[in-house]
Amino acid sequence: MKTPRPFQKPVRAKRYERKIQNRIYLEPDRAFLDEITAQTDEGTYSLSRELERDEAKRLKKIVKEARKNRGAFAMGKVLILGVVVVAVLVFNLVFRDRLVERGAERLLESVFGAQSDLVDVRFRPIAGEIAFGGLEVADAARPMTNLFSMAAGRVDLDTWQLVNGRVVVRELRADGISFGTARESSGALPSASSESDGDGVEAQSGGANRGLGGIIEDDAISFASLGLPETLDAEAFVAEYSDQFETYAAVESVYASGSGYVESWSGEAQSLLNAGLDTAAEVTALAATDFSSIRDVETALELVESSQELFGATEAYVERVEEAYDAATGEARAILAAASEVPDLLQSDYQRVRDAIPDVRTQGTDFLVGLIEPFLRARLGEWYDRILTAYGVALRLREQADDRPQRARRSGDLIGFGTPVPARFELRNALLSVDGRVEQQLSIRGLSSEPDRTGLPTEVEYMSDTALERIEAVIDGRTDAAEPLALELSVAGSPLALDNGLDAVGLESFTARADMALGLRGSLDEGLDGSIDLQTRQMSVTGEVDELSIGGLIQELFEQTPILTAEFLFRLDDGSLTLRDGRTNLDEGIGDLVQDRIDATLATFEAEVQAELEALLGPELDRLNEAIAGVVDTEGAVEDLLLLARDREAAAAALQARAPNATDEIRTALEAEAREALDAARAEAEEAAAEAAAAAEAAAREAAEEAEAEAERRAEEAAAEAAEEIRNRIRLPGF
Amino acid sequence: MIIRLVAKLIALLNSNKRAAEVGAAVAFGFWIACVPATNLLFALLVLVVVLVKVNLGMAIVSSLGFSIFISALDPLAMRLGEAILRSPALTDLFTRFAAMPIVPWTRFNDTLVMGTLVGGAILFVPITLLAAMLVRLYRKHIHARIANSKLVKAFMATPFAQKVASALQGVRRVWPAA
Repeated sequence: MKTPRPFQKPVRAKRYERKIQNRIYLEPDRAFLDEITAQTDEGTYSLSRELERDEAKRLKKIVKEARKNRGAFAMGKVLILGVVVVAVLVFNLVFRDRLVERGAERLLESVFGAQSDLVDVRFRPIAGEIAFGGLEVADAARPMTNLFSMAAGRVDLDTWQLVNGRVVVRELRADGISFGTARESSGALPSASSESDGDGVEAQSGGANRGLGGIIEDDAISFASLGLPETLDAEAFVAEYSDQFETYAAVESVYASGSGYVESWSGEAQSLLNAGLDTAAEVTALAATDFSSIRDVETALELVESSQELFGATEAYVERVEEAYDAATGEARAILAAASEVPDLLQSDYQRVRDAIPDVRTQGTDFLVGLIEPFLRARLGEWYDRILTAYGVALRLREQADDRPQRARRSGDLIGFGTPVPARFELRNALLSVDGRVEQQLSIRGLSSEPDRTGLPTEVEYMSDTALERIEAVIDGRTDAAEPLALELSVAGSPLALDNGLDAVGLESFTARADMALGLRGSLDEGLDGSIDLQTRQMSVTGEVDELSIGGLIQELFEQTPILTAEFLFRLDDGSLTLRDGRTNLDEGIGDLVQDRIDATLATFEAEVQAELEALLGPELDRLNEAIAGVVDTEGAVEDLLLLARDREAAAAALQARAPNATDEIRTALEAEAREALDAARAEAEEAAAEAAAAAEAAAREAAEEAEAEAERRAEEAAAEAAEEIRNRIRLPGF
Repeated sequence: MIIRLVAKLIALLNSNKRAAEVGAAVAFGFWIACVPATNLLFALLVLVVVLVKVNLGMAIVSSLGFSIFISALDPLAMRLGEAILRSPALTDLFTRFAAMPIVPWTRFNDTLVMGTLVGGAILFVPITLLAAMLVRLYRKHIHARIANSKLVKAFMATPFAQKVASALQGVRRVWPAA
């Protein structure tokens, strides 16, 4: 076996001790070395004998272990670490720009909640500079539109803070910035798209959408917004309120009751009339009887019976007529009472319509303000959207600010050394400009995810030479900030154009040049108080309108007024705008003219409304009169019947009174006749008896006496029977 | 794996490795056990242990062994760390450290981290020396007695010991009886 390398030739003593002997620590190995080596006179070490195979193998291992026992570092591991570090550096160098590009895009997407695209990124870590050839950030609320885009820019970064996980932008400069440009593809983030079905969009946009509907809820001019009726068409106006009229229902009720009354009581009256006529005929016939011609008792008795029956029938008829009269009268009174309320209801309905006509002297004072308000709402809506967008960005920055160190499982007390730690995101100074024909600049200072840490509010300033627009805003996100948002906006010579909703007053468009100063203070959480000073000039109104109409008034008003100044106070709270106060320089001077014109218009309108009401309710009143007339006629007919019945009752009573008198006369005559017959019979009997006595005095005396007695008995019986019969026949009830 | 590790450690104690390396491994193990894990210092310590020529196995085993009772020393370490961190003479230095990038990741301003860092550093050399001395003593006086004891010989004759011996050939050289 080959001898290990140090022992292939003599080794100097010093080298042997340093490289081999001093690096072997096991005594058996040291003894083994001493055994197989020998020191020469020259001071060198060499093998003292030929080694066997096992000895050579052991020596080789000892030498190998001795070699390993040198140095403090494991060079192999150090080499591996070095290779790894170099690989990482090379990778970073090659893909650095791409990594920075993706990192920046992720940061922007997390801040703005929408897709962000950076192109041509160049990162210089030592200088802390990032330059890019273009940037597009989509609008989270409108994915097919860019929130803003930049042509080129340069970012001066604090690289060391970037290593610490903090993005501190010392300066940002960008040119070619533009807002609201269209995108070719949707800028919604995948997560935002999936959440858009629910509340995700609002969450992504930081509530940026919450105020749109509230502010631009109605930018059209309406009559109501001017303190006027919705329509000046009297017929339409009355029709609008006709559902509330009570006269209709009342007239209908009276008409229905009257019709029913006439229908039911006409038949009843006819029936009573017929019955009355029959009774009257009977009474008339009875009354026409010649009582003096009645010579027999039976006829007299029949007459009496007839008069009694007729009297009873007449009484029943009168009773029936009286009942019918009472019922008909009661119903007629109720119908007439209901009818008597109709005029009051009619007056009430008219008053209701009249009250619905606005009194422009109290409600129309915001006439001019109402005309301008839609424009202001639209402009405020635009700016409120931008403010909400900025607020959403600030909220997302704050969400990323929570970089509290994680508490270790074993941890002591943390000692602070007062060194200000930068915020997680900090944009100290940004200057964005739009190059080309239009000169616009936007500068941002002190934008931070942790304003409390930086101790500074964010200042935003925007200037546009073309639009003569200037915005200065201070957004103070510090916890103890007295005024979280203070914004001053001024626009000079901005074109003002209104063409939506003017058709309500017959106009087509309103144009002017406007200078506007907007102040906004407060917080988005607790509400913003704002003021607007507006000055418009070169006002022009187009449209073909009647000179005396409201549209004509507006046209005349604006065309003859050189400058209109207006002041508004408003409050923005949770997405809704409330106008607190508004006044213009024309309120007092032209106000009277406006009032007169409106008064005249409304007077005409009021007359038309009254005429319309009369036209509408006239037929109803005619129907009412017709129903009432029917009721009255029917009631009269029933009353006539009652009078007739009572007359016939009197006649029957008179007849009844006459009947007993007639029977007395007949009885007296019959008694007289009976007496005469009795007397005649007696005389006849006496004559016969005298004749018989004379013929046969003795024999006939007895016969005469018997005959006389018989005749007398018979005469007495006949008289008695006749008298009794007469008495019985002529005896009337109660006699 | 564990058997192999145990065998390696046994072999290490009676190998030609420098006693100081073994001692340093024990000292590093103690240091790593002392310092809380969630900071950059811990990572640096581990990196140093990996890069310097110390026995990694011994460092791991000793770290695990020390970590069982090391928390008992935390109050002491915290007092030491607080004393250092609140030292007026060092305030400027620490303030600069706090302002530096990356350095705050070491959590040096944590009293426990600072206490264990400094305490581990102070005890590093004594522990290294002590452990190295013990290794030498073992190699010189104890190993031979143990190796030649009947009990060990009987144990080394068991299948388990055979398995250990076959797993690590180096043991055979150290333990001729095996």
